[in-house]
Amino acid sequence: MSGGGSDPFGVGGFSLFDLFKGEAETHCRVLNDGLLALEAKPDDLAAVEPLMRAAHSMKGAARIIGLDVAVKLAHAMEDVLVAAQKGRERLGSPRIDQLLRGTDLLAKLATISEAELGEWTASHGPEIDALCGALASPAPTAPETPPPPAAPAAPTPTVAAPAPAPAPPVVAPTVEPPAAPVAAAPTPAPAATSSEPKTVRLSADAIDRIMRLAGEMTVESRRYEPLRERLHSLKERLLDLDETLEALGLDIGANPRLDDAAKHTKALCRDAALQLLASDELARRVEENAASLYHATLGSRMRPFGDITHGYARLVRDLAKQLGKQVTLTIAGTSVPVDRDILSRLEAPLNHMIRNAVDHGIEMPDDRVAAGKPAAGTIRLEARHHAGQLVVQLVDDGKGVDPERVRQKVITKGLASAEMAAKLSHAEILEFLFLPGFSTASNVTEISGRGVGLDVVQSTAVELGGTATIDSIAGRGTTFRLELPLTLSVVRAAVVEIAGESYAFPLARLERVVKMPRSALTTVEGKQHFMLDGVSVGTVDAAPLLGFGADEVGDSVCVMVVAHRRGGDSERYGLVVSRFRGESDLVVRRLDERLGRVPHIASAAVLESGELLLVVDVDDLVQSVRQLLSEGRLRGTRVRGHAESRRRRRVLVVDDSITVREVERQLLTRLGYDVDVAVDGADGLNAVRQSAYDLVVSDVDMPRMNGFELVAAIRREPRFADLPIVIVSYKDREEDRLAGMQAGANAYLTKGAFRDDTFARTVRDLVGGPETGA
Amino acid sequence: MAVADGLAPDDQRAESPSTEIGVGDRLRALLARPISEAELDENTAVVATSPRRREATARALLVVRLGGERLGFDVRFARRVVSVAQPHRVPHRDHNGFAGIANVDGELVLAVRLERLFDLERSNAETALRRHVVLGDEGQGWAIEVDRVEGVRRFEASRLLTPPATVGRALESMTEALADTGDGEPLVSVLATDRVRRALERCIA
Repeated sequence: MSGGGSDPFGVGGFSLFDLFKGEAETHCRVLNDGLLALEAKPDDLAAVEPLMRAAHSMKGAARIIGLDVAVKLAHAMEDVLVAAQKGRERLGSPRIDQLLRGTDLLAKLATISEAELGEWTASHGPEIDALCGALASPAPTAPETPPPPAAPAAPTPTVAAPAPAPAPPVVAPTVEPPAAPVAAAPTPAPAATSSEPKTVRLSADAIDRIMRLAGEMTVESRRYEPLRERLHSLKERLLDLDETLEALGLDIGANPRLDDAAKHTKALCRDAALQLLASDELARRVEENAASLYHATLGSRMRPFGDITHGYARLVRDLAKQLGKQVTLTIAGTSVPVDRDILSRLEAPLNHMIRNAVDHGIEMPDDRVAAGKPAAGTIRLEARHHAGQLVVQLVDDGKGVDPERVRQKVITKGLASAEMAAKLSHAEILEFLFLPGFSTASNVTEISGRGVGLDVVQSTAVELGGTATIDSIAGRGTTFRLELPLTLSVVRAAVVEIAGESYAFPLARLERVVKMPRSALTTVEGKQHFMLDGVSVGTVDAAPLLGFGADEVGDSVCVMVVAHRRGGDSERYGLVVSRFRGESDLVVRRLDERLGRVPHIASAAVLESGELLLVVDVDDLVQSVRQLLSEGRLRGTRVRGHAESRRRRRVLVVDDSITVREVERQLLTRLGYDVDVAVDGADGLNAVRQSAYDLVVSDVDMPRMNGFELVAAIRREPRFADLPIVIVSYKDREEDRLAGMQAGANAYLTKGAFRDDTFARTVRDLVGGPETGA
Repeated sequence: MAVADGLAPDDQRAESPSTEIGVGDRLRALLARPISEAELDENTAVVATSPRRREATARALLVVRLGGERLGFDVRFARRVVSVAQPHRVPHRDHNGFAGIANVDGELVLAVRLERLFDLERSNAETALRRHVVLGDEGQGWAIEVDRVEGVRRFEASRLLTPPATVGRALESMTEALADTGDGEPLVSVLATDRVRRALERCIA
């Protein structure tokens, strides 16, 4: 750096340390992948060279910013790699371990902040010194005594070593083979980095902004159309004038001034036609360019799948080593473009699936051999585009899932009766593996936990608008398959009208759109439904569901049919909207975060005309529809009398402290009330508006909206004029109490009220016991 | 005292003084006109203030009309004036004067019916002059519909009046000062940015 005045701290707003971090990340990735590949093929001397260069570049980068520890470490690593390349040393597994540890330390450096640097170097100094010493001495021939994973490696969460030390696995032969016991190599050769496309770092905000402007450009470019029509009509009027003059000219003969005017008009007509043509051409080009710009911007949100997979080879290697297993991981489709947002959401579920495959899928080498399989198990991760979707598949050739064990578990867990469970198909049985807390692994391990996670895999897929499926053949292996949209930025949706405004339903979540006369909707026992394929489908009007008045009643309506799936079971529901406007590709925009979570709404979007619409959160809507319909059923059936006369009273607890919230929730639940919680005033107000409570209990000091404001806001709405509200606060001064009562609370208690039965008594006095009619 | 400023919102910038014949005569007449005692005092006070002090103490306000009131927003708070963009209501949040989300040239802003917050009666006349004023920072913007935008005016801080200490309508509680434009029009309620911001935030909660 020249150290010039204008940019003394670095380049283009990045500090030198930031730049170093970026560089370190790249080099460490090369080192990590390369070392793993080398472990599988220790004699591939050509593969050493890129590693040597990476270590060398690391050294240089560290020297520029004066980071001596990193210089020293990179230098020691480089020496070993040079020796290997010159054939002076053969890189065995223990040596590779050392080099990987060095890589981890350097990678760790790339994650800390400049401020933490001093402390970090001080605390890791001895470790680095020791490692440098080890690298400088001859390669250890036998595996080292198991070094507990030194510094927590950036991509590899620490795994607490349980009592049986992982190093010499029980099933391993007495002498560890000098060749790599574990082969884990990603398919793309790490040396191929030079052919990778160049990338730059760009903040997500900047991309969003560019995208917004590009979208606005396309909208603007369409504004030419009406302008063109006006120009056309101008031209038409000129032509009319020309004709009139021509007629006059014939009649009157040679009036020189009239003749001039006629000629002039003719010229004008020609000129207007030409200009109109030119501006048409220009408008067309602008529109095309705006569209290309827009698509290019959308494309810039895509990242190669390989962006998240570089840590997996290492993950598999470390896990396998620890478990005494042999596993080969192959990754295909690293260059497949995936939306940045989807990619980041995929990382954790994939990580979990891979851990799961190594831990529960692949068997111990002896067991595999006994089963007639190769000792090393295979895990294959692949990504590809298929039919406008991103398909990510993880296949292992391990022991698979025994459907009968799952079936037993379904029964013992009470998820289905023995009779029902017996009827479930193979696929339906496997679906249960995605249920939260459902695990078949008899031994809970530190590595993939206790089955929590598979539900996360599915819920992530659903949240992204896709699906997760599992297939397994006992003894042969398991396949996880995720089908996801290619991008979250653009969603193909049905645009409809509800209460006079536009809403969009993502097509992926829509089963069908049925247009029909309103008379086809029939109401039975307060429940509205219609017949579809001979089956009755319960429906709900969308407008009141969204909190608006009933929609204007037209002769025909549209029903958006959505499915609710759970454990292989699928139910259909209908949402009645007033008009179907068509399908459109929408670029979704996040809702203003100041609005918090808006029930039933996922995001906003702008149509090409510039019109704003809201994108419906179908899952959330379906939940409400189910609730509404099941309540309707309760009213209509025999349990009615019982249900209406005896219902649990519902209490809403609003407090920003989780402790207080929990104390109140538990206390009230123990008393027999149904309790919901809200984390602050704004959240509380939302909850109050959305469902019927018999009592609200609120704190005073809360973010966003305090308790007094909450009470006042509730009281402003006439329907809540009589809703009992209790304020519970640490503030015990008289004026606080007064303020609370003035805002409209029915009681003001201090938090000491929990110590005796004041709180319970107040609640009972205000609303009565936990059950109505009791 | 008020000095009309060259900074007018987008749509009002165009008008320039007409240059007809007799400009010289008219100018002479203007300069030769008798000056009232009050005007003389006022101008003396301006001249007596050092330019630097004047700059430091003058407040630039965007003056708008809403429901018969004249409201003054700090120009640092009132960011843009745009044509009215019909807001889209937000389900379950259709209350409190919150009108919904509006698309203002591609930026999605929260639209609020300020007249609701301030308890003002809006007339239905002259919809052609209605505008949306965008308040607040980008990404945190608010759009409020006003009946008419007068323009940006500068007011000497020392000449701002303290509002009467009556706790009346909501508007008074948002007003930190009153400003006289000296043209016989009603006083401008100078709005306290932080109070308005809080009121806006409350209405979406």
